[in-house]
Amino acid sequence: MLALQEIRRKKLQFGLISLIVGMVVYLLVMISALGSGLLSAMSGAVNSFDADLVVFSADSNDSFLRSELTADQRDAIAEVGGATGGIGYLAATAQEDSLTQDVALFGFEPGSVAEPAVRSGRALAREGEILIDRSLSRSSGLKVGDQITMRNALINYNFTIVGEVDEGQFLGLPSAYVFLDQWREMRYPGHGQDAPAASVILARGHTDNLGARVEAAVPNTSALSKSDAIRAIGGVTQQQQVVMTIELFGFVIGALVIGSFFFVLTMQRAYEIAIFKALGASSWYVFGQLICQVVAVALAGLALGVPLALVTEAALPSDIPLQITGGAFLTGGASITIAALLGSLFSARQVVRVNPMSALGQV
Amino acid sequence: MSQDDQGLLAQSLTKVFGSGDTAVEAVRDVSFSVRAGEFVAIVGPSGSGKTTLLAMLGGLLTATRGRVVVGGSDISRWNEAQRARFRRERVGFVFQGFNLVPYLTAEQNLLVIPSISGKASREARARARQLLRELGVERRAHHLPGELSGGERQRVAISRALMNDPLLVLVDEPTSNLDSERGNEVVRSLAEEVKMRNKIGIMVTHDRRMLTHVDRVLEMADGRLQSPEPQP
Repeated sequence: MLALQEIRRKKLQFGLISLIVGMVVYLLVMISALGSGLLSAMSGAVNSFDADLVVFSADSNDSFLRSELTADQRDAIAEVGGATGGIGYLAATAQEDSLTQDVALFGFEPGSVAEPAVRSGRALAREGEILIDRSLSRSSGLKVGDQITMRNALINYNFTIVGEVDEGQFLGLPSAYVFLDQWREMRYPGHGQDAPAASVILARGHTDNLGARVEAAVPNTSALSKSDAIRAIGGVTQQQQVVMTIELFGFVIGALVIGSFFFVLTMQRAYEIAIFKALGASSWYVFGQLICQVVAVALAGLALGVPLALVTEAALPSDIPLQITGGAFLTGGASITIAALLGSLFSARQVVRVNPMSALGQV
Repeated sequence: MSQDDQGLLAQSLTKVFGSGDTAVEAVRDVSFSVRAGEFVAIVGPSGSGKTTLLAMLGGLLTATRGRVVVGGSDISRWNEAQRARFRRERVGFVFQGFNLVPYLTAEQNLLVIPSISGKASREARARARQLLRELGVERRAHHLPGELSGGERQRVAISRALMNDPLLVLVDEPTSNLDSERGNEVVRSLAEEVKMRNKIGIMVTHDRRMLTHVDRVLEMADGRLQSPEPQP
């Protein structure tokens, strides 16, 4: 390839532009990783629910904190169809010796779709036992067999950790799981059977518009798909919009940097382009050569930026919400390639305007 | 007529730049013909229109009036795409001065020609080697233009002009960057190639010492041929 020969002969120029593109790729991947890290910290535990639908009480504004469903509502939802299960939510404080840690405490209906999968240890057998998320054991050092105290509304509850789950975090807090009945007792102490049955009901089913049918059949409910339920979590949408806006800036900067580099390069070699055209090359041919170089620079930038992002992820402490996913690389890689191609369009006009007559020293 | 089909014919060729009051007639009513295997020089002072004439013969410019017939085709009204194809397939150019692509080696400069025609191949490589050998610059094949002497550069440029086995070889001021001895050598080898390969050779020059190698001289002044040939 003749276009690649030019890169070989102009190592410094192309090396520097590849370095800059690499930095932009790095930036894009890291921003995307921070975005997924934030999303996971805010809503990982909800995303892990094995459900298609989350049913809130109608007056809760679709908030896990405010939603309260009665036993009648729960039963009516179960009658509409699909597999269902109750979830209770409570922000509690875990205490053990010197440790004090806020956790997202979920109560689940045993044997239902709401029950989390145990990764190590065993499932809950009775009240007074608790499952903790990996994020909690990692940050606090708690392990299966340890005793912890959960404190809510001035009352202490003692638990034995019997198993570990991998469900993720909620609102930035590590999650922990107890039986729904125990949650009820903690959340509404002294209310007995008058207390709400659950915060939300999860439902799973392949039937179309299950949500609409639930809302129609059960008064005072609001049924959301799981992804809508995540978006309804306070701050999630705004955070993701901020991340996307920063990504957009990175994309535009990438396009401008690459675009101006190739624009200047094209101006510098107007005479060479004139020779190519005088020899019979079409503007398409010349532009094709340019695109080859653009793609080579984008690939070189990816080869630099991606490993750098991986190294950074390994080096950063684990409490920074950074999650490098395949999607992050795809976003970084695809956007830089598109940015590069868009940027090179600046030069297309330039290429077309070169007059082959200048090869004869005229014009 | 089959003999003429291989040649070049210029008929009442006129090129006007601009329009209205600012119109400039760079070439006025020029007619001549060149046979295959003939090497012709166009001489004249700068501004006499000889480069414009060369550009029209090579399909770089369209004619305002008149026509150019090369190898049986009238190219004077073709659009840019048709003329680009004509230049790729039928014309070999030797440009003035430092006209090689500076970041490509001598051999790669020759391979530009098959590359722009989409015909890069092993045969093209072999042909490039062969041409460099014939012009005595084979051992410089892997050198960049900047590492070659002026004479070597012109030989590489001549090899490039022959890469597409053209009908027509057009040469623009081949000696402008050479001393007279090297210039002489280069023009002589050009003349030899034109004869040997039966090309239509046309050279624009201001250097009258080079005219010993050509078959015929066309003098231009003020856009006109000074000793117009009879209308063919």
